[in-house]
This record gives sequence, C-alpha cells and structure tokens, in this order.
Amino acid sequence: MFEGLAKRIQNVFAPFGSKGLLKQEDIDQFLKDLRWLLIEADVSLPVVNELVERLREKLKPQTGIVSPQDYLLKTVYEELTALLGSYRPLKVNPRGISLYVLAGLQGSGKTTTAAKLGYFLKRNGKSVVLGAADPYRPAGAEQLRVLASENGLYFESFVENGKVDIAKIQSFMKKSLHDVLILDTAGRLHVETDMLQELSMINKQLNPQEVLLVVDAMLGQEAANIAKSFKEAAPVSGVILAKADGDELGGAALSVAYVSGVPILFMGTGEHIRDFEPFDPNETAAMILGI
Amino acid sequence: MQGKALTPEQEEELLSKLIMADFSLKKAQALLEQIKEKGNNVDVIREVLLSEAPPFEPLRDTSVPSVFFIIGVNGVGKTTTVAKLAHMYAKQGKNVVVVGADTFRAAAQDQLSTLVNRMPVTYVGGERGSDSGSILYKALLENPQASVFLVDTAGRIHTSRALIDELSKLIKVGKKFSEEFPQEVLLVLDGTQGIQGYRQAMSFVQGTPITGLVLTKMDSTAKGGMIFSIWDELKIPVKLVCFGQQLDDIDFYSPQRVVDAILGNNGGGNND
Ligand SMILES: Nc1nc2c(ncn2[C@@H]2O[C@H](COP(=O)(O)OP(=O)(O)OP(=O)(O)O)[C@@H](O)[C@H]2O)c(=O)[nH]1
Ligand SMILES: Nc1nc2c(ncn2[C@@H]2O[C@H](COP(=O)(O)OP(=O)(O)OP(=O)(O)O)[C@@H](O)[C@H]2O)c(=O)[nH]1
Ligand SMILES: [K+]
Ligand SMILES: [Mg+2]
Ligand SMILES: [Mg+2]
Repeated sequence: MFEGLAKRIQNVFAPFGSKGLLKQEDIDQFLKDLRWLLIEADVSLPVVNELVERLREKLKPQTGIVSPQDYLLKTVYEELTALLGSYRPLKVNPRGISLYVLAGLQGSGKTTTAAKLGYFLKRNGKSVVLGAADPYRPAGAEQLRVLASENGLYFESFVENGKVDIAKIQSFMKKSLHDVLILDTAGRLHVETDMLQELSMINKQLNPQEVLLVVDAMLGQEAANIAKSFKEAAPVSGVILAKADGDELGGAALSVAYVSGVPILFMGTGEHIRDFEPFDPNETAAMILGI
Repeated sequence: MQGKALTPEQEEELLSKLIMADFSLKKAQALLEQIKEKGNNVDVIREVLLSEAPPFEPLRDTSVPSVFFIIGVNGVGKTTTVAKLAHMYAKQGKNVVVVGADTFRAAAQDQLSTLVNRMPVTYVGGERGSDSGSILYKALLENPQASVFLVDTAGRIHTSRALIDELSKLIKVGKKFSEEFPQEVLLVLDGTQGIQGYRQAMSFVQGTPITGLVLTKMDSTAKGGMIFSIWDELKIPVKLVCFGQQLDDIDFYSPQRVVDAILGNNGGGNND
C-alpha cells in the first residue's frame, strides 16, 4: 500500500530541487499540486482541504536555504507522522482477560481480521479466544468458528436468540483464564443509527481495552464519514486496515487516520491468516515521501 | 434553456460535490467544462449528468436457461446479491438454481445455503477447497429443467492475475454446455469503495467478459459517481442497485435516480 502515492508524490516535490529560495508563489504552486495529488489518491475531500490548510500555515517563504525541496519534504513528513500517529502495542488488562472489540462496515473484513489478530497474538505467546457477537450475518458465527479451529484458537459464541448476550460475555470474562478475547461484531453502516446504538451499548457495558475499527483500505470518499460516525458511537482506540493488498494509494488510510485521530495499528494484506502485520507510521511516512 | 455563468465559488462547489460523489477528478472536470458552457442552472446540470450517465439496460434473462456469474473483489456483496436475485426470480415463478462456487472462504457455502434455504430454489454447492468448476459442471448437468443459474464466486482482488485467470476457467465450463453461456457476468461494486470500483472494472475486464455492474451498499451516503467513468471507458452498463441486507433491498438501475441522489434531490437512497 501507498506505493502508488509514493510514486506520484515525487513529481510534486521535483520542481523545487535546488533553487536556493522558496517564494510564496512557489508554496502556493506546491500546495495546489499536492491538493490535486491527494484528491487523485482518494483522500476524502474535506480531509484534503484541511491538510492543505494546515501546511499553508506552516510553510513560510525561505531565502538562502540549500534545498527548498528538503524543507518541503521535512514539513510534509512532520505533518504525515502527526497524522498517522505513532506505533504502540495493544493495551493489556493487568487484572484479567483483555477484551478487544472489532467493529466496522459490512464486509470490511472484521471476521477475517479477528482470526488474523488472534493468530498474531497467539504467536506472541497469548492464549486467545475468538468471540462471535454477530447475530445478523448468515453463518457469521460459523465462519469465525471454522477460522478459530483451523488456526488453533479458542472459540466461544455469544449470540443467543438473535442477540448479543452481554451477560454471557461478562461472566465468561470473569471466569476465563485466557489472555485475550477478540469480539467479532456485526457489520453496520455509519448511517444505521440503531446499529451504532447497539455498538455503543456493547462498549459501555463491557469497557474493552481496545475498540478497533476495521476499515477496508479500498474505501472511497465515504472514508471520512465512516471514521466520524464510528468515533462518535464508540470509543474507537485504533484502526486496522484490511484489504491493503487491494489498494496502492492509501487515500482511505489517510482519511480515516485523520478523522478518527487514532493510530492505524495493523494492516491486512491478503486473505490468508499470516497476511497481517503491525503498522509503522514513521516508516510509512518516510516510504511515501521517498526519504 | 440558458443559465448564468458560474462564479469561481460555484465552480468549486460543484467540483467538490462531484468529487465527493466519487466521480474521478478527470470526469468531474470534464463535466464542469460542459456545464460552464451551458450556464449555471439546476436543469442544465441535471441534463448534463443524465446525458453522461450509463443508460438502463435490462438483465439478459430471456433465453432458457440463462447463466449469470456474480463476480467482484472481497466483501462487496456478491453472495447477498445472488440471494436477492434468487428471491426475485423465485417470486416470478422461475426455476432457479443457485450455484455455490465459492469454495475458498470459510463458511461461504453455509452463508449462501442459509440465505436461500427457505426459497423454492435448488442449491448446488461443494466442500471447502474443492474445485469450483466441478460444482458448476454438476449443476449444469443435473438441472436441465432450470430457467436460470445464479453462480456465486469467491472474492478476489482485481490485481491478482492468478485469481482472475481462475475465473475465466470457470466461465469456460459454462461454454462447454452452450456458446450462449454465460448470459451475464455481473461485476459487483461496493458503493462505499467509490472510485476504486473504476480501477476494479478496468482490471477485471482484462480477461473477463463483464456484461453489467451491480452497485451495492447504496443505503450508505455513497453516490456511485464512478459508474460514469466506467461507462465512458468500457461501455459497461449498470443493471442493479442494492440498498440493504434484506432480500428485497434490490432494484433495477435507474439513471434518473442516481443523478437525483448525486444532486441531493432525495434522501440519497435509491429505495424510494
Ligand atoms: N484480499 C484480502 N481480502 C481480505 C482481507 N481481509 C479480509 N478479506 C476478505 O474480505 C471478505 C470479507 O471479510 P469478512 O471478514 O467476512 O468481513 P466482515 O467485516 O466480517 O463482514 P460482515 O460480517 O458481513 O460485516 C472475505 O472474502 C475475506 O476473505 C485482506 O486483508 N485482503
Ligand atoms: N448495508 C448493506 N449491506 C450489504 C449490502 N449488500 C451486502 N451487504 C452486506 O455486506 C456483507 C458482505 O456481503 P457478502 O454478500 O458476503 O459479500 P461477498 O462479496 O459475497 O463477500 P466474499 O464472498 O467474502 O468476497 C454482508 O454483511 C452483507 O449483509 C447492501 O446493499 N447494503
Ligand atoms: K445513496
Ligand atoms: Mg463478519
Ligand atoms: Mg461471498
């Protein structure tokens, strides 16, 4: 992911090679080019506009600097790393089992990601349970059960009579000797207010260590709206980008990170259980800018 | 019908509206040029958009039997669309065979069979990991009475050549029975993925004879502007629009409704 953006962004910096000075009109031209580039990279338009305004405030005309290009690169790099957040490990409950709730749009990749994250944590020595909490998707629990059993993870269903059984989750967590419970919730749209309400209730009653928003890296302009609505409905603490193998521009990633204000923690890069890796914001920003 | 010239603010506003409706930048700019020539007027804008929108084309379901393939990237709504179409044709009294040719994803077969098990349709599936071509072969061979075969396929990322090739193999199985097969290869595009759908279509057409598009998840705030670019470049029409998870949340595509939603003349939904 981001390779396409990296390739194109070089052209925006190129004209400012070694001119020795940077005038206001150069800055204006640079920002104009950058704006079109970000739009073409599928970053949501309101996010593009805000980003460009933030850069406009930061960038000042320069005289006698060795390389205006380096100055521009450095400023954009700082902005990008601020936007992408910094790497941190998942929060752990010191007093018992850690609960990670996965939420997101229909088909974004939650169930697959639950298994991938579980497998990742298992390889790091944790005892992991995948918990089914999606009453709506036909065979959704079965999908999670199959993935758990194929990958040596524990499985528990918390769906009773077409509902998520919160009390069952609570009592399971009280008794459990496992390290981690990953809760796979139903897909919901950012405009389905009753479904967002349900998510909000689950989180209020369970108080998880992490609420992870699983987003499709292939999202278009909707990315900003999605991040905003989920953030309002639940205490989203991190983002997992699924299907990063389907996108080379990274526009949705930038939009979601910007609007949610929480870091991207992991990235899914394929359908297989091992196609999953921690996300490193600094490395990514450097890669995008080719530095 | 002649409108006033656009102010720079109005130009910017219109361009923003089109970009946020998932038009490509190139297409949005071209439309803006056309509108600038004709003047700023809501009727002008609507007329320009309508003249550029893909036209309505009905499903090719008149020959008996017809075979439809439902294809697309992961999680866009293929399986749900197959169930919706099965429901639609079963209600019309057609003899429907649903073919579960996704042998890759965990519980894909259970998902589809659960969705259709209360419908008066025939379901033909197979074990996970088994050959999808054999499932289709078996379905076509054993159901001479069918009027329509709806084939659900595994999700695949458009840049994965191997998986796209596998899809053409599946289509070849159909050809063994009749040169007319498949009547439809429907590429499902997730509305929330916006302009990415354009890139998916551009990739899938290389090797797959796509006959139409299905736009899903239009119960979101997505508007589907990418179908304009797909029509420009590939002349692939849109056939169906889906707007929810229930079996009835599907309708034929209508250029008027899509344009109205883009311009914000209704709640943004297609389910009026
Ligand atoms: N290529 C690719 N496919 C992925 C990735 N993550 C998930 N998928 C696929 O995306 C599709 C949808 O994934 P699910 O895990 O079922 O999505 P979900 O969010 O649980 O879906 P609902 O429960 O219906 O809302 C499946 O075909 C997955 O195999 C990824 O990183 N790359
Ligand atoms: N809101 C909404 N959800 C939809 C729509 N169509 C499908 N979905 C949901 O999207 C999710 C994925 O749908 P599927 O039909 O499993 O998608 P798929 O393309 O078959 O997925 P894979 O086989 O994993 O590639 C499910 O939760 C569906 O209920 C729609 O029009 N609107
Ligand atoms: K809509
Ligand atoms: Mg799921
Ligand atoms: Mg499917």
